[in-house]
Amino acid sequence: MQIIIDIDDPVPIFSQLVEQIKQAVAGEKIQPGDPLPSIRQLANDLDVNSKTVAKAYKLLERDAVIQSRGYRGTFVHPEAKDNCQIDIKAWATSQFEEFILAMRDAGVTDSEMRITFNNVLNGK
Amino acid sequence: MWIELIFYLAFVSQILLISCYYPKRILERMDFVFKHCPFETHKKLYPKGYEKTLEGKVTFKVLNRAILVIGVLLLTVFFVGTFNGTMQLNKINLLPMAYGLLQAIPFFIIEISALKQFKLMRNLNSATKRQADLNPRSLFNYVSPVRFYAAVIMFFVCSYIIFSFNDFEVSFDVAVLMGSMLLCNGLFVGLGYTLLHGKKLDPHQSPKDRHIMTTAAFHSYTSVSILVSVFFILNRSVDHYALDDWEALFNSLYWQVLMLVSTGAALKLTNLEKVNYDVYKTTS
Repeated sequence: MQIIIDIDDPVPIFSQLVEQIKQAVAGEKIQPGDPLPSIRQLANDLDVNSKTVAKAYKLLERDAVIQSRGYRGTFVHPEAKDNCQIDIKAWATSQFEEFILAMRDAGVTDSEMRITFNNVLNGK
Repeated sequence: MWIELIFYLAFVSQILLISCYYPKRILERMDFVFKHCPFETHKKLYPKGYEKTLEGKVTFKVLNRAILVIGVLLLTVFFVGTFNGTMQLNKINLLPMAYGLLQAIPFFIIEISALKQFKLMRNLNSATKRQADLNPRSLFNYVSPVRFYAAVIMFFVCSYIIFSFNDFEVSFDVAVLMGSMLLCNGLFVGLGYTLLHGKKLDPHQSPKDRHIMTTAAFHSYTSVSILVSVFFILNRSVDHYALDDWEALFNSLYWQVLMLVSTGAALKLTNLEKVNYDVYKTTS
């Protein structure tokens, strides 16, 4: 299974990696439990910074598409096929929509929401 | 007298194998590449330009011819000397090794030149699309566990024999031998690690060809590692059992086997007709 990235593509490299690994899982080109290359190997083969690959792996691990097993390496998650169908951005959008509606019903203005959101996000 | 005869036969074989047969095969392979991948259509294969590459071929040919002539001259001088009694075999036991090192020079130059060429290829590579295999590479994808552990076991067996011949005392000789062995095996470990986890040497090489080249390299490293251990065992045995008359023959045979398992195996394992040359096309 080959992975191809385009460094001139406006889509960030880590997103291209995440998408292609998810597509490989969805298309059953890689199976649950299959080992994945190490961060260093993939970064060297693609000639990109290892932090870029690490970021992609971190996002895939968060989405439970891959799992890290310490020194044994990184593997495709047993539930990867189901998990890679979940669009976390769409889920977050719907959660925010519900929350904003509830706030507006309670009479909170958009400006107050923005200020409060920024304060909470920045830990103030 | 028959030991001398066998030695000179072995030395003739060493001259012909390393300075005639293998250079001829390498030159044939160069011609094959030049013919099937002309500069006009495969510019990526000639980062220094066609003329420079051709110069490299001519240099390799001339160097090997010169070394062949030196070999024939040495053979004549020592053969005459041995059979008219002015030279003894135990006095020329380093001749095959010294001449072998001279024979290795063109091969060494070609390796260095290939590394420089790959570096230039990487610098000139302007492709925005990059490809990688989604399978992890591990040592045993390229070398069988039996071969790998045989090399490791031979290292320890050889160390034990070296120490046992010296009554388990560390002398200067033993330290030099152990240091050489560690250095040689350390070099193979370093090169192997770079091949497994390092950057691609040739940025255009297809994954299949990379696999074949890496397999050939690991095959060569493990074989040479085993042979180095065998050589040191023979080297100490010669001193221990006073086999001075055999040493020159051992050295010549050792050098030939070394070339057979390194260069010979690499040539055998990499079939030029199966290499994907499309990746070097200017339009690809």
